[in-house]
Amino acid sequence: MALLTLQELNIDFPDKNVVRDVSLELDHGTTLGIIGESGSGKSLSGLACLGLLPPTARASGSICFNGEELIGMPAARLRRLRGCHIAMVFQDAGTALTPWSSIGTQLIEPLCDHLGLRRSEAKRRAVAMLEEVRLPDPKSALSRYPHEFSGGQRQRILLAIALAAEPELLIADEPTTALDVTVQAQILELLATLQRERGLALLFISHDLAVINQIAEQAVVMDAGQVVERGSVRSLFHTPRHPSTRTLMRSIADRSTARTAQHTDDSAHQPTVLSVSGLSAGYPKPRNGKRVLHGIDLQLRRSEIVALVGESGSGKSTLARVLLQLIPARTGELQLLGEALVAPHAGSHRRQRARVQMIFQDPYASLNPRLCIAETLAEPIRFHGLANTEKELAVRVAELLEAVELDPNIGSRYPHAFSGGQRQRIAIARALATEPELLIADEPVSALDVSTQCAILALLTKIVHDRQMAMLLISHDLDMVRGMAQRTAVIYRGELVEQADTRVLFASPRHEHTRQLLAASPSLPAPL
Amino acid sequence: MKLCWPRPSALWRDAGRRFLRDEPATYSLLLLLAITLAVIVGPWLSPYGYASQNLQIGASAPSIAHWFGTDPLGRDLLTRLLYGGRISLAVGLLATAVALVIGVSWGILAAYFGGRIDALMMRIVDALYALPFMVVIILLTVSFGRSMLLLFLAIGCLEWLSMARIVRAQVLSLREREFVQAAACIGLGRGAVMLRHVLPNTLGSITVYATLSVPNVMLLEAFLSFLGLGVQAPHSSWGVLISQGVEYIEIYPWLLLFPGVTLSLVLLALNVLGDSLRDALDPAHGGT
Repeated sequence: MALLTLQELNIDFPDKNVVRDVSLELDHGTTLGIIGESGSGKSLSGLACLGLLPPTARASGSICFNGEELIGMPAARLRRLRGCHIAMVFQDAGTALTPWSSIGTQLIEPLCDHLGLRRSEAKRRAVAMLEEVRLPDPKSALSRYPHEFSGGQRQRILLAIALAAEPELLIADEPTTALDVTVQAQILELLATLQRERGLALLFISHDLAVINQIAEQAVVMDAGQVVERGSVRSLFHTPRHPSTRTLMRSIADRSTARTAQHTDDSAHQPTVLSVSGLSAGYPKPRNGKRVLHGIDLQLRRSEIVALVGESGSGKSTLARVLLQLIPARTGELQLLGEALVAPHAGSHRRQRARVQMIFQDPYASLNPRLCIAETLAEPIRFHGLANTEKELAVRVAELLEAVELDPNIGSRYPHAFSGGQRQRIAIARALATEPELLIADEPVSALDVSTQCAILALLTKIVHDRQMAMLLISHDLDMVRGMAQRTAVIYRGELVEQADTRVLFASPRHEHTRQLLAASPSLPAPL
Repeated sequence: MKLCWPRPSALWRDAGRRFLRDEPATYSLLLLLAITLAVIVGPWLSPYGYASQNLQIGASAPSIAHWFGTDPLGRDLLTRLLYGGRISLAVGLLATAVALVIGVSWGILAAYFGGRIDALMMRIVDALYALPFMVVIILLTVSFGRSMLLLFLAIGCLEWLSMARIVRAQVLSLREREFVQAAACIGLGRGAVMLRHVLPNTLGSITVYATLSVPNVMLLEAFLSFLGLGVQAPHSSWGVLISQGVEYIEIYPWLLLFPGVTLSLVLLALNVLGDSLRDALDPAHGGT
């Protein structure tokens, strides 16, 4: 008999139905992936298996765990089950640990509580668990606090807590989404090992097919609250049957196919837009006395997209801030179309600001909620005096909206009325308003769904070529970079360790760190 | 010719539209306007003076001649209520306005400059917070005598402290948001970023705090008057009338009823108004 059986599970909120007739089975010691976009109901289905739905949600149908019905089970019994038999790992390891109690407290208490162990015994067990999740120096870790660990280490600790009571079922909801690609690879490997060694049943929820491909053979695809298709990850990817699976898989494949191929060759003869040489920069009071960036040399030509790839903390965002003249460079030269970019606060930098514009990662945070769209777009035009009359201004705003493929009549509405993808288009329109020569895009699609990602990436490519701009694309997503950028630069601990033609770099990486990144990047299913 | 810049935001126009769609708030505003008008015009129309006594009738129940009855000295309650309303509303609105102006600018400037200036400005706020309010008021009254102006100043000076803290905290957290960075990328100076992007996003908390502050101030005035530090006889205010009404609650209940109901209505209307203003200023609320 299967360990976990969902039969016609429905989850309803007072105003709408979010999960409809979901049925799936999970056997002892097997792994099942659930893939879907945001709002597809995948996380709620996972939460329902733990009886952790929000209070306004109502579940009906059947969730059968080890022969016991979970829907309608008394809370006390459910709580026992949650601690001992079913465990969960969440996406954000940063917030899933209580900041003010030590790792020991958070690990030992559930052990005493659920397994009735004595403290000394629980402590031994805790150390053993931390060893099992490969946390360095597990003994001293017990007395340390969550903020003393890195994101990957915190995710390991969460795994240790989840697995401490030896559950039969582990539900992992996007456990690696917030992590760097190399750390992600380690955590996935750890999960796979633990699953094998302990005979765990693993329900792995993710929006990322490549990640699911690393850990699961079988998966289900969810869309709009329903399971639309199930099967092996490979067949789902290569021979999708359901129309919505087909759309999803096409978007995933599209991300890495070369969108820029037809433009690659002519950019070599284009004039240089940005030239950076010997740049170093840092913050006024560095905590460890180190500069964040040193010895950066970088050139961008017209109509060229150059990717800047690196892990978090490698200095990617600092470089963007220097190029935007938000922080000064310590040494080195910055030239935009042959003119030196001056440090901020030095007189006539207003116009220069307009020549470099930025597209931010989170479209939900990058638009002022109190300005309507027309005003958001009009602000840079007014500020730089790019329109002479109100009428001309309105025309320019409409043109900008058209350029990002939005209805030009939406100007009077406010950001909250738009979806993530639409907001990102508005943010792109704002960046274009000052007619910049250089666009910096900092993870421009990582907050969006896969299908939206493709459309935004295609739009960015089109804009760069139509308007003959240069774009610096900052990302940790190698798959996306491969499809977008002509050249790729790898940044590691504040230094550009390698830069080359994207195809060359992916085919024959020279620097050790580039090789690590490429090896860690999860790959899509191999052809059937 | 360059376009004028910046231009008043469409936020206010849209907020006005959203506000007018909110019926309870519109009625509250009408009620407040009616009461304000009544306290301004009413005393002139009344046949009685606010201090003219009629010891022959003494305390009489509401009648055709005296709609709200009279107090034990035979003074017409309606006239005194309208007259007292002038003082109460003036104290409430003026002190809140003082608090708004000082508090908001203090908070924004502290957050804008940051560093040592911020620390200094906020320590001044802390120091003023630490002073026992009653002692300050008593000292002020003792040294400058009793005057209404002093009352405004004293209450206003107390109220702005919380406002400054609220605004500063909001500005500090808003400053880190991406849309503020985006504004800096466009090239806007720090002042323009503050005015166009940061300040409008603090309006929600400011309006709510301001409307909560008006009743606070009115109650404070009543309390001070009750202690004999605020409004003095024969002048009156709603607070004074209520405290007198409490004395006679068993024999002349109308002396408490009418001032009490009036004050409650005003406070209720202000709260409804504040809530609705906050919602109206938030585009995400109720759609466009």
